[in-house]
Amino acid sequence: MSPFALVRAALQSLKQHKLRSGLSSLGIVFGVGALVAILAVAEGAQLRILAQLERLGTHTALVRANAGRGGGSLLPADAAEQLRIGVPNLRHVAPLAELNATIADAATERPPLVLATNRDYFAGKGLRVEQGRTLHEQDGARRSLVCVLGARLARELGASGRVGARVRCGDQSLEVVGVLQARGDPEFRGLEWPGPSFGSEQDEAEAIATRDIDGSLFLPLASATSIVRTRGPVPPDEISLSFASADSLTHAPLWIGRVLDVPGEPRPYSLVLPAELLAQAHDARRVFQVVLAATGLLSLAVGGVGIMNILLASVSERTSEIGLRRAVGASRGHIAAQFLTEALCLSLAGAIAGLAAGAAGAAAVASYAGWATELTPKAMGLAVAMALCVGLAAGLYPALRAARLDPIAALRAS
Amino acid sequence: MLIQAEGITRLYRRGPSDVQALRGVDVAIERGEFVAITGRSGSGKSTLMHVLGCLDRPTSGSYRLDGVDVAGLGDRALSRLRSERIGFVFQTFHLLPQASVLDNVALPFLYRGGSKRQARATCTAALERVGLNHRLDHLPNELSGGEMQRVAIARALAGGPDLILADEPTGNLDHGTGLSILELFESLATDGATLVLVTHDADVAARAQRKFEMQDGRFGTPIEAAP
Repeated sequence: MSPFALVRAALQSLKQHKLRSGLSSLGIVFGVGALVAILAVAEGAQLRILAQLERLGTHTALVRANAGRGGGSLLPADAAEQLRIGVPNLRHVAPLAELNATIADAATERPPLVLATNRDYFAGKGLRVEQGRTLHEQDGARRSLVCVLGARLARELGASGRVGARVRCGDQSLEVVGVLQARGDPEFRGLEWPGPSFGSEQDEAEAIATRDIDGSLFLPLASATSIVRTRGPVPPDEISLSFASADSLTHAPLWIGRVLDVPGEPRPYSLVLPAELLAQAHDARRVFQVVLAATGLLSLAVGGVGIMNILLASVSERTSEIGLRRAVGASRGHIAAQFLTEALCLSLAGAIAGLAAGAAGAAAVASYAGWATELTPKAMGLAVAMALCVGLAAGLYPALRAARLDPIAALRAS
Repeated sequence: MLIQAEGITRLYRRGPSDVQALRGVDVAIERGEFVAITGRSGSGKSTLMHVLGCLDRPTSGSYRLDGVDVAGLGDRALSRLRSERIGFVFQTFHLLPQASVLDNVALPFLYRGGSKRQARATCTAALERVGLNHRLDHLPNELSGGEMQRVAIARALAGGPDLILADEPTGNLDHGTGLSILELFESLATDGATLVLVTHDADVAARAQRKFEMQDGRFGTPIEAAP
């Protein structure tokens, strides 16, 4: 008996009770739909995290200052220089302090960030200038009153946002030496360092803290003193380190500890390693996916019960048909194959409808919740394969029951 | 000898008491014969037909169909035998309501393998033989009773069986239609088909060349040879 003939016979039978067949595969529709939508959301989130972490780099580490009693950074002001000398294989060392200063005449949609940093910051983040230049080594050494503007901030400042113009920040006037290219990527705009407790209950958006680079003003860290009017130099809130290779990251905690730890004092910083975050993110995602996939599987199982129910009814209803088929030459195997094929057709039809439902669901999630979703062939294939397995399992018992019918008794049934 | 059955018994286990449906039947039928098996309901004639048609296995006795000992065959081999060598015609027609006339006739071919196109041609020819070649794509419920039985006969015929077994084929038809069906059987017999017709109707049985009468699971004495 050819598979084609089996399918044709199955479809003929199922067509007799269209509504019933449709209802019986509804469970599979929901199951596959749920599974596909869940996998699409999970995959989308995964891709987003991967993309974000890729931007942070797997060669990087972040030294984040712990707050002292007064709330200020516990790191020494020259921590970056100490690290540069004391830690091997470093490529970039970029301290960063977020200054509490306002920019005059800035009609901005968000309050601009005033970030004090150094030359390495731009290289480490891959930031390029549209006009002018980024900060130089000498800007720090001379404590020059210069600044580099994010693309949007420059636009919003108008005439004073051009290279060569001056911007009032705090009580000082800073010369604009460069304007950055826009980050462009709206989703990842101003992407920055991850927070410390990634993979816990925190939302991922929070976990990977974003800084609005397009709306920021950058000035040399050494010049920050004159802006915030502190007595000594301004200590960094955090220091980004990028290493020459992922390998050299292995010993980074040790080296950094040697440079920055003060015996007998609380540790002045905490260390964040994106590579570790990546692993944690994987684990967190996996738990999330397992739970949701289990939900989808549960609805698939319920769908399977629905199919089994209908097929059992169908077997007792079509007893005389089974008898006839046996009389004209169907073996037990043929009869079993026929009902299994019907089960598979029901689940496959349900699965196809479920794929559509799942794709629609994923699209709805994407547009309402604004989550990135990603439909992968793998996920769709997986969902369909599972539906078929469920259909097969659901069809097994009815098929065996049909096959075991005594043909003579079955013929008399009408 | 197409059919050679000796000492066929069939015992049904029905709760505490067993039912002895067949109590030692000997029957031999030549290829090309038209045979009637008569008897009251419960005499065992349907059981005999099921055994002869390889749907049922005798409890004891030997049954050779065209020299093949049927007792030794498993479900698959028996099923194959039914699809290739035996055609059944039933009182209640047993057509699949969801399948077209042509698909109904082609049903035995579903379990045989082989060329689909050839099967289609054979089935069309069989339908032509019973006078229904204008109804190929109709559904059974669009047909009259006589037409339905003709479809069933075409189905039995199409596979080119060695043996056609008919169980009360006119039982659900009015007299006139029944007559035309019997005429069809007679003309098949004339063409050389081996027919075994089970009926309780003496008029129907009278058409056959030979007649066996069953009583309580065995043949009664009158076995008439046709002139």
